[in-house]
Amino acid sequence: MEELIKRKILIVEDEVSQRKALADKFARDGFTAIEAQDGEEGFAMAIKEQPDLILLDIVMPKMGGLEMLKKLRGENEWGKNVSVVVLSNLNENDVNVVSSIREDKPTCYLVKSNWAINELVEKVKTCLPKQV
Amino acid sequence: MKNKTKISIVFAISLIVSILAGVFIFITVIQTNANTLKLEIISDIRTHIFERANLLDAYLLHPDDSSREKWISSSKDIDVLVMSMKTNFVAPDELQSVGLIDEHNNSIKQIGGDLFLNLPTVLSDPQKTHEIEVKLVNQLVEHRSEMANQATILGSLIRSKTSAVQIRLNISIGLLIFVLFIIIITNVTWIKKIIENIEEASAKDEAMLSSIGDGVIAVDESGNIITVNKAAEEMLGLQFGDARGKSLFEVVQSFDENGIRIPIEKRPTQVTLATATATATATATFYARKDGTHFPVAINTRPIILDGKVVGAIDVFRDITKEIEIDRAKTEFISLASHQLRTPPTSMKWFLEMLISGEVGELNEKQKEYFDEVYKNNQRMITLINALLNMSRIELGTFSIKPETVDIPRLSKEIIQGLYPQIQEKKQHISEKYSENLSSVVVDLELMRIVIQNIVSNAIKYTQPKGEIGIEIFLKQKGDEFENKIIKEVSLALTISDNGYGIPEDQKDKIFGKLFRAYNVKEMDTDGTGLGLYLVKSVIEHTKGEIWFQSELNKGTAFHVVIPLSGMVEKVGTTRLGIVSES
Repeated sequence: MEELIKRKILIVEDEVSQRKALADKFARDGFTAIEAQDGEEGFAMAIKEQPDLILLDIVMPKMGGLEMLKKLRGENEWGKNVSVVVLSNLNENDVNVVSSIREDKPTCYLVKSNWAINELVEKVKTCLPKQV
Repeated sequence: MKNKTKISIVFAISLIVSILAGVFIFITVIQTNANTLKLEIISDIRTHIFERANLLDAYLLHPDDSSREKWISSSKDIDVLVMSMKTNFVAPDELQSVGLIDEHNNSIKQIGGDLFLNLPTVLSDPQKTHEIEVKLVNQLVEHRSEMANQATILGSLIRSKTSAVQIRLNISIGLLIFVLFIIIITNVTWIKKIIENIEEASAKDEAMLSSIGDGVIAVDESGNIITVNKAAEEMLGLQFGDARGKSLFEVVQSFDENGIRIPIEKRPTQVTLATATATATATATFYARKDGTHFPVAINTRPIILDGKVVGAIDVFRDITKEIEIDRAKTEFISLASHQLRTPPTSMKWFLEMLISGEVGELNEKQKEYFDEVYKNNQRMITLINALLNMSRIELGTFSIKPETVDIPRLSKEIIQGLYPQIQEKKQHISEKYSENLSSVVVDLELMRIVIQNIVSNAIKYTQPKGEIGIEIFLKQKGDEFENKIIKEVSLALTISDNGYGIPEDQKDKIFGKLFRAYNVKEMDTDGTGLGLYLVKSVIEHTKGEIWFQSELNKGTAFHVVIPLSGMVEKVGTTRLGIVSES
């Protein structure tokens, strides 16, 4: 069964370089990578594309990642349960992050600079919902 | 001299002076009374003397029985008076005159006897009788005038004595009045001075109180307001006049950060009144203004203790709106800096990883070598940024302490596991020793990680290949000994030792400095940030712990750390310290 459906990952990241690195890497590792450059675009795209997993930055213009996550969890039935990996350079102990983790329950919270890109992909794979 | 002592002395002197005055007056009155009596007697006796003289004349004119009887009766009266003189006039100077009067009286009586009783028996010769009569009368007159004379002398003696007593009394009373006057003047001066001092002190107090920028409220032992200074009036929007005597807990309401009223028993003032100890706000506290708005305060209260009893408390508070804003600004700066500084090296790291892994095309050997160098330097940059951020968090005081139950040996093993690549590369040997009671110690996990990880990582870095590294962790009780120090309270005690390069003697005092790296290791390991030990020391100091070391060049180093568990109290900061990641 080589014809597995490609898993779709939405990368919401305002930093062009990082978005490119992540998109390229995930595409090479067999994912369909779609990109959004801020929370607003990310939210619209998430609803429209319904990806298997959302990789979400925090500090972004227009709408930040934590706000987008809140919106996703609060306003959308599908969004309530979608896997979200928050990927940021803010420390996980930052007060805002702590309360977001408690309230909106991202699947995973990763500090960017701590992760090698390979390990990151491996970690993200473990956060994907089981394939039916 | 204390005012109390002064007043006592003045009172005692006044009392003595008053008693003396009374005694003087009493004695004087008695003496004057006695003298008046004496003068009366003298006057009486003189009257009687002249009366008797007249009776003698009458007799001589009509020598009959009646006039003779009268003279004898008068003489008896005089005898009575002389007797009374003898009992009343007892002073030595008086006795002489009294004696003389008595003598003359006796002589008069004797002559009188001769004249009145014996003379009629010689009436046969009228010529002779007359001669005797004249002679006797002459003697009688002589004695009488002597007697009268003595009475006059005695009279003037007594009068002079009376006036002497009067003069003495006047002088004494004058002196006493003078002493009392001086006492009153002194007292008035003292009282004036005391009043002036009190007025000055209270004016100073008032001026000081109203000039203090912090709010000051003093309450009595039941929490009723005694004093409110100007700053407090302004901050709270109330008037002291309206608040005086009312309960502080009613007049000034206090709330937590959620706007819920803080119960009286948790308010620092009440705690101070109940425990007689100084108290400060530990959690976010807001005071309500009269108009209902709230502002954040830092409150310090101290008991007012008089004669060992708490009679009230002083509440000093200040509006910390600005501090909170600054704190928030600091935190935001750290968040922003951490984000902005980490973003570029993160992108580089990922692209480099993809290049080096060959997944976008194989690199030749030289290319790979160079990209490895770039990668290594980028990692150093990330490490450095993390260290700097941690340092800023410590220096800006925005990090929090969050105690939780930690299995110390497990944490230590995790850290060693994380450093395993370096240990293996240098083929070093690590020995571990833990005391038994370490599996559930309440400390901040991240802070402990920073301390252990940095020191162990240094030990690995600054020890030659195949070197020995030792980790020993104990839970020490109060009074236990640890490395020649007596433990003051329950503490974690760590020793991390190595047999490595050691610290040069002249560098030992700089080892905990910021961005410091000893010259003997700078060349061997270029990865060090010079921030590790600075961070460790800062963390330990923030938790009231101690760190020190022993080191000998080329023989090794041992770091000793004592962290009292009481130092790991919850501190609400805005961020926690993260571990400085070591590549």
